[in-house]
Amino acid sequence: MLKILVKLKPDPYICEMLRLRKQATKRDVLGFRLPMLTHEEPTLDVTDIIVIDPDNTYYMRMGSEAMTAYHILEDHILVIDRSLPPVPGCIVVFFHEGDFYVREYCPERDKLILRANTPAETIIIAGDQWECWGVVMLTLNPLLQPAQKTGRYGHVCAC
Amino acid sequence: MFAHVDINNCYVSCETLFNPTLKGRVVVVLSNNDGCVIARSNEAKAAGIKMGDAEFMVRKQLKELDAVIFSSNYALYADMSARMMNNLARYTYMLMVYSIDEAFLALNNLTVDLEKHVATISENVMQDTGLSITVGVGPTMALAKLANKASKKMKRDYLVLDTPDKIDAVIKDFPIEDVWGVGRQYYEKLKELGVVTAEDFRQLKADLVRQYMTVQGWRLHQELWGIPCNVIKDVADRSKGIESSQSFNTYQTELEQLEEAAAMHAATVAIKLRQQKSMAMMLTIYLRTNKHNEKHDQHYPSLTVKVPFATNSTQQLTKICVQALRAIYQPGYNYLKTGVRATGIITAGEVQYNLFSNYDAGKQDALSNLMDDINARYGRGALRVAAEGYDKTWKMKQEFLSKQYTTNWKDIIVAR
Repeated sequence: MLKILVKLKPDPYICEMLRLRKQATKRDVLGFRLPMLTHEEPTLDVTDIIVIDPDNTYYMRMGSEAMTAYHILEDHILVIDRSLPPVPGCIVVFFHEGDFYVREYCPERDKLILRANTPAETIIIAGDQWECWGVVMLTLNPLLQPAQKTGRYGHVCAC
Repeated sequence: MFAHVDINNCYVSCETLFNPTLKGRVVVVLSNNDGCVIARSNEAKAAGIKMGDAEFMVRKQLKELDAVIFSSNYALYADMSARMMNNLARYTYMLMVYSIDEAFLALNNLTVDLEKHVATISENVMQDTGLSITVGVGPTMALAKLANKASKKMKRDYLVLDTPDKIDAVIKDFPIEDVWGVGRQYYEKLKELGVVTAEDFRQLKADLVRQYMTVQGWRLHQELWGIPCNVIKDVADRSKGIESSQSFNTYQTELEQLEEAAAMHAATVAIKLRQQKSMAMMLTIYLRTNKHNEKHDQHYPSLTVKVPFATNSTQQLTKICVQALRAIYQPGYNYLKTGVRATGIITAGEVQYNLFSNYDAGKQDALSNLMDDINARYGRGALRVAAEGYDKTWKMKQEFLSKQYTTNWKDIIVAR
């Protein structure tokens, strides 16, 4: 199937289609077989190291500047794992008064502090009226300049 | 030992996970075309909303209850179901996905305590998926399913029936109509025999059961005594027929619109065939008018066509489908529904081609695969045959659709 695609003129959309196949398809090599073909491994895939448990991984987007001191800027994509239990100092997503929030998890003896940049944005919860929705493992921060965000590069961490 | 796991109020649970404000409220999910209620929160159940209630019948009641209504968001439910099943598969060597929200797990030869293992499954899966589940465990699949129901009645997360004493205690007053496989017909028959509970049924003589209820009933009888008759199959049987159908949001009279809808159903059937790596030899297309509307003339035509070569190609199936539709369509009727069904299903690869035909199956496969790949990347329907049309005026009603939180980047939640 891939061969048909390769024969078409190589415009950017076709290139992207090729990318569809996560496991790059081997091209047939005519003539003698290259010795390296017996040592092939799948190429590196960034999701191998950023999505540990795909069945329990969810994505959200940061919608405020409350966590800039934690390098979480507005519009960053959040990679959230529900199977990780929260530990002090980690970043968690939780539901509070009608919204999902992202904050630092700081449990204290009699209350839970969910810390942000400023005390005004910090949420304090008494007792155990709290439920962790998931633990934020990392955020994705696109670094492209506006001039570079053209064509398919406009899709980097964007919708 | 077997475990039966299901998601409590599955569709409502999925919606609530991404919208926790729904907790404690009356929530219902409507079927295709927002026709009737197909899922209810516990609060909706308590308020007397029934499964299958037509939306327009309970509209007023729902409003009074300040209910939250959803159209079915199958993209979300299917994704959450897959996540649930993959999670469950971690706790067994054999998982049988029984339906979108139910699975059986084989739990033999455990090195840990059974009760402890079940508690772990219950706790971990609920935390990891965020969906609430119930686990029933028993020596047979029927008893596992019964344990699950009993567990729900006791408002417990799980129930393990691993000794005859525990089974006896539950089965004693377990209503026979709630037993797996006892349908309305058997229920009526059993009532005549004075069977009210699962225990009554178990006390019947095996010969008598065989006489009254075919082999299925006999198997159930055995299973209630703890003798396994059903086995877990980790590969689902290939379906014998694949169907796609849908009602229109308004009556359709024009051939063009009907063609578009039928072509879309044919394309859906083709995709399903490819997903299960099979091909169809027959294609049935049918049209329906609204039988509830006595003022309209009724017309229920249907046509089954033998496909020249068994195929799963979108292009071939839509072509045949549109031709068949033209043959059965008659102007002047108000059509409400159309559907396409593929039968005579065989494994792809078993197909016989005619030496003298110029049908190029390889090309068709390449085209279909290409369509699947592009649609996987850009969303279902990005690339489709022209017959499916562009402006889908006949499209189904989905007034209360929630977002595709897990399957569309545009719909992911924005946190603060």
